[in-house]
Amino acid sequence: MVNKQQTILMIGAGANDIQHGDEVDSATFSVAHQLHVAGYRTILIDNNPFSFSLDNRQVVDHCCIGPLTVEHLLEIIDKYHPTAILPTLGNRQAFLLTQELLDKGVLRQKNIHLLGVPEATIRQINNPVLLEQTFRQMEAPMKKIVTVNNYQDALQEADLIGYPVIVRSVWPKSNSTRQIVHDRNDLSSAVKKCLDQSRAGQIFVQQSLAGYKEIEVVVQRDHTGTMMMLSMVEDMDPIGIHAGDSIAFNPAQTLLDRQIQDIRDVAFAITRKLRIVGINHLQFALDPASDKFYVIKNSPYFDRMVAFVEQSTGYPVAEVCAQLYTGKSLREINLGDNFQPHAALMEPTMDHIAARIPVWAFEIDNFDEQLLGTEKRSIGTVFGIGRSPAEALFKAIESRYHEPTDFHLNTQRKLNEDQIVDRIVHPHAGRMFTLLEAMERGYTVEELAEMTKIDPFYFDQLNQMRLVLRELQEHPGKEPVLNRAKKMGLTNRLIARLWGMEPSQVYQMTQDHDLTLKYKEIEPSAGEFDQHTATFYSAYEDENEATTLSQPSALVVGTGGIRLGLSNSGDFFLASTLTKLHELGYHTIVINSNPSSITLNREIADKRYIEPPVPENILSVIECDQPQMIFIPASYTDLVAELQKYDLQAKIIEVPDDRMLSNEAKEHPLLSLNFLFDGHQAHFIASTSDLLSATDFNYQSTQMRTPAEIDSQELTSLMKSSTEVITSREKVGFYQVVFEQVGDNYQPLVVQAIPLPEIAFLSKSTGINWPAQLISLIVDQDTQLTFTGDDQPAIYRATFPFKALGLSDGRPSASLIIGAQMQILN
Amino acid sequence: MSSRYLIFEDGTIFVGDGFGSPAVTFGEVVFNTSMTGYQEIITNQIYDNQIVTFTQPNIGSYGIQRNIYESIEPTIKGVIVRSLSNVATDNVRRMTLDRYLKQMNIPGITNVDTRAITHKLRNADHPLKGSIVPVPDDHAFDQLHATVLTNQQVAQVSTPKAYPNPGVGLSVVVVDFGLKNGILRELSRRKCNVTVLPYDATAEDIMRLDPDGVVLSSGPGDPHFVKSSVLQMIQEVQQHVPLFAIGLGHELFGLANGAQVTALPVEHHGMNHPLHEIITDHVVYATQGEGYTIDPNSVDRSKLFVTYRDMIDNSIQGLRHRRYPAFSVQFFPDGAPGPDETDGLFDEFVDTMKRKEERR
Repeated sequence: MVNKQQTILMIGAGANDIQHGDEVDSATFSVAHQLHVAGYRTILIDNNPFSFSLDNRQVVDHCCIGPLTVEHLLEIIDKYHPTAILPTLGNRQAFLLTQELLDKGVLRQKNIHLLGVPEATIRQINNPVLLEQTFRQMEAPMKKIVTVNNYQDALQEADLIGYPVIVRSVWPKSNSTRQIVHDRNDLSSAVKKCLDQSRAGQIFVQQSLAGYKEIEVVVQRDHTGTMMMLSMVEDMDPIGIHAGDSIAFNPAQTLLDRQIQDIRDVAFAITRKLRIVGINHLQFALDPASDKFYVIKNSPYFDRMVAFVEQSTGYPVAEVCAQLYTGKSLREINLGDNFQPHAALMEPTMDHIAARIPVWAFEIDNFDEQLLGTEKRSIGTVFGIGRSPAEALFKAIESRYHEPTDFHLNTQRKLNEDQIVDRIVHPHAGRMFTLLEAMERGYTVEELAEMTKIDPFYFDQLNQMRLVLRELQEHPGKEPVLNRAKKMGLTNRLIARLWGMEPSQVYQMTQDHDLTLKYKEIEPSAGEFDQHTATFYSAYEDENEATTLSQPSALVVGTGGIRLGLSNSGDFFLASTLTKLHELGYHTIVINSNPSSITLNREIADKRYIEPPVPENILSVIECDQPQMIFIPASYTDLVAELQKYDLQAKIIEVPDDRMLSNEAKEHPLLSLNFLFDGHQAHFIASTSDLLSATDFNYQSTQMRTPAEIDSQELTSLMKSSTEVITSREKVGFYQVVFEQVGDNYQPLVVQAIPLPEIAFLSKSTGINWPAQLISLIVDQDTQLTFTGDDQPAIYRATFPFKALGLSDGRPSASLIIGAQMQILN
Repeated sequence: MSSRYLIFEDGTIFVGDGFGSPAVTFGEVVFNTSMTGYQEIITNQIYDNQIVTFTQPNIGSYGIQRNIYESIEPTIKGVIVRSLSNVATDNVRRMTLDRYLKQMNIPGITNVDTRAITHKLRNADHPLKGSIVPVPDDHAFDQLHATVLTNQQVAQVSTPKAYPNPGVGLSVVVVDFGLKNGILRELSRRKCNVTVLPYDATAEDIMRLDPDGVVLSSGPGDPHFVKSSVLQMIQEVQQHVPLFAIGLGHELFGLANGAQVTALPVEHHGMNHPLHEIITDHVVYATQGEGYTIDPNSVDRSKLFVTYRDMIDNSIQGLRHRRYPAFSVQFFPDGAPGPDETDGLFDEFVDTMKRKEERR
């Protein structure tokens, strides 16, 4: 293992996409922070402009912005001479890159150690055929699977396995193509599609596990071989719906102990066989009828599941992993005064339930027609924590701020009987609401369980939800049902809609009846020990564990689940905000419900609440912690409006995460001049200009460069007029003056807040964390801004989810980005 | 569901809803931090005299299953849980947890702040007595104060008569101090021909069956209140045949070999503590359920040595005799519920019996 004074190269994850969000950035930050504390030097290579770690020289010694290619890696290796490389913070891509480095002999030549996974494991994870061989050799339970390279063989094998079968590409070119084939008629088109997508000219034909329970396990192992299970998570939806699109519960709810222990044994055996040091995420399919189960996936790197496990158990996974990477064993790890000695070795046990639900791309995906299958359609997740499964689920649903629950319920009511059945059998994005409606119409649990392959337990929970919703509708304004509804996690907003009232009236009722929130700490011993994580969730119960934070303090409301157009730039902005506030002496509090968000990282804020962003929760936190400032995303318009009705002893500061003017493709390029206005003076940040899209031959504000290509005299004149416009403003903040370039002429279009994605991009290109500068001004308007940057020309290219969602008619626009890449021009 | 109350001697009242049997119940209140296996926990006889608080907030999610009982007549005094699911998934009887507890006359209380209860128990310096009642009036508290829980628990739960659990392999006598079916299941897996004897079986009763080995089962309560003749039985039997002792059996094995046993201020029930397996230097996990522990200072190192330690509270979790093929563990190597990483101890026991057999 590595010694001190050594340098660790971390390969980043690149642009956010449908498969990954902020979780890798968050894990990277924790790991880098731990390594830094332990005296290691770190290098991070990434091209994600929204990465907070990549902007943070306090924890990462060398932030290298550039393409995630083997050439660039070689350049960095030559420049900084790392002594170790860490491939677990960059998804599968980092494994592929590491293998390329191994193949070139670079790591051996330069004596660079591999951390987290040995070489053989990298090769096995990168090659499913090898991995499968290993699993079969060790007699891990596997589904039937064969590799073929033509239709005739595929047909023969499919007949042997028995339909339905799954066909997918070996070593797919881009997106993995998987097709469920129900009979011989469908086989040939699936075979053709998957062969086309395969770099190896081969396809897998495999037994379908559709309808089985999907179980996800996160195991941790140290170099001495000690292993522990961090969590077992159960998906409510059976296999056949992508795990990322399913509602999931931690801990597993419907498994017998015997089944859990058998799966645990296999998860341990695989993790041991692959000699993993750190975390391993495994997925299993369990046939409840026979107790038989199958290994379906093994991902020994940080991903959305690891983030969910860390946030829902309170066990500091990334912190512990970082120490494992440095060669410590689990028993040598000390988690500090807030934990029991040897707490790193205690398997997390929970006395709450966490429910995770998907977030959909409403803007482009038609909710009513969006069928779910084996390919992921959701773009992110939110979660809720409660004292019962139904409460956790309600909180999770209500955390999808931009998707009101009652909207879904109303949609279902209009369906006729055939449509209901069709939607139950052919699952789509809102099936849970259809199931509620079906139960309301008298479908039995047996019928629904048969049609959906969902365990009867979940219908018991759905039934509790249905009953409370109906009770609310039948007894508007009544206290007993309000009491019950609040205990089940319903928000005032939802109750108010069902009652035809204002949320503030419902809030008043809760106050009149003393229905006040209590807070429970999320710590991994279920109350056995006096341990503290400063992370809380609310419950209507007896005991309150949250105490008032020291003053001064500031509250930040997170941007929640990932949204198109914003991607993780909101997390970048708020993580910067929290860090700066802390630096200025504030105790910081964050409310968020996105398990992947870096704002929930323990190094970023002093106190965390896992709560839906609704007024009653904010008011309750304000009462508990007495913050002087509250930062709220401006797109939470109802929330802001609602809070303004109360006499808060705190200043509300809106974070400009709104959709900007729809910058559709234009004939002429746009040029923007960006400023930070401090109330007196407009500080120039940078200029940007649109790039001509190579594919669409038009200008798009989703691809830009900085500085703008413009004649310097022209720039001076535009600067002058822009500065005048901005200094006439009242409010401190980020401003962008947009011009349209027609020929040699620049016509002013609009003055607006700088979109958050661009703030993140320009912070990296200028080498100045601009959100931090703004926070200095907000805290003290007389602050004399002093900043020195290192202006570098750079290019920004947004990425879109169209291809991953199978949408052929997607049109790039700033409001639909899911991620971005940037490049420094030298 | 109607309102019910959990009351403690110090006057604390928790309001919740009743389930299971409507009877009034008294017992020592303990908490169990396991996240799996509620049926196995409820049917484990170590909970005789005790009311168990599940820290896992939701139980009942798969109802009652026909093949995972740890005893047929559970002796637990009551069940406390935050949220109860009313589900039946077994194929014939459609048995929910609520119905089962009604049939077995076990009261339960739900919709209470179990985390607050756990904190109360954790912070106490001795085990707390509590009662689940329909009305928390003076009468209920008077009754609670007046209640004296029996200390003759082993006599209550042990089988009164010997019975066989036939197999085709080695002959094993299991002495029943409050037997957990997991022990029989593990011996069955290894084809053992088992005879279960009552707790007060003498060495002579045991040796008359000419067993290859003897298992001292787990059970409820304070080992000091188990008849002293049991210690004589152990002292005698360990000289002749391999002996494997579990839970209460382990505590009795310690006492029989001169060690002292002390009561824990807070009972420990869960499955997430790291256990140090000293001989291999491995860390393993197992189900634990203990109110008593062997005092490390009292262990006569010339007779016994320590084989397992709990890495969190440093308690002794395993002992082995230096002269005889006899060993014991405080935890439950049979799992049910819980990790099965230590079920190799049953193999070790079988191997020991085989070696002894071969040398005859």
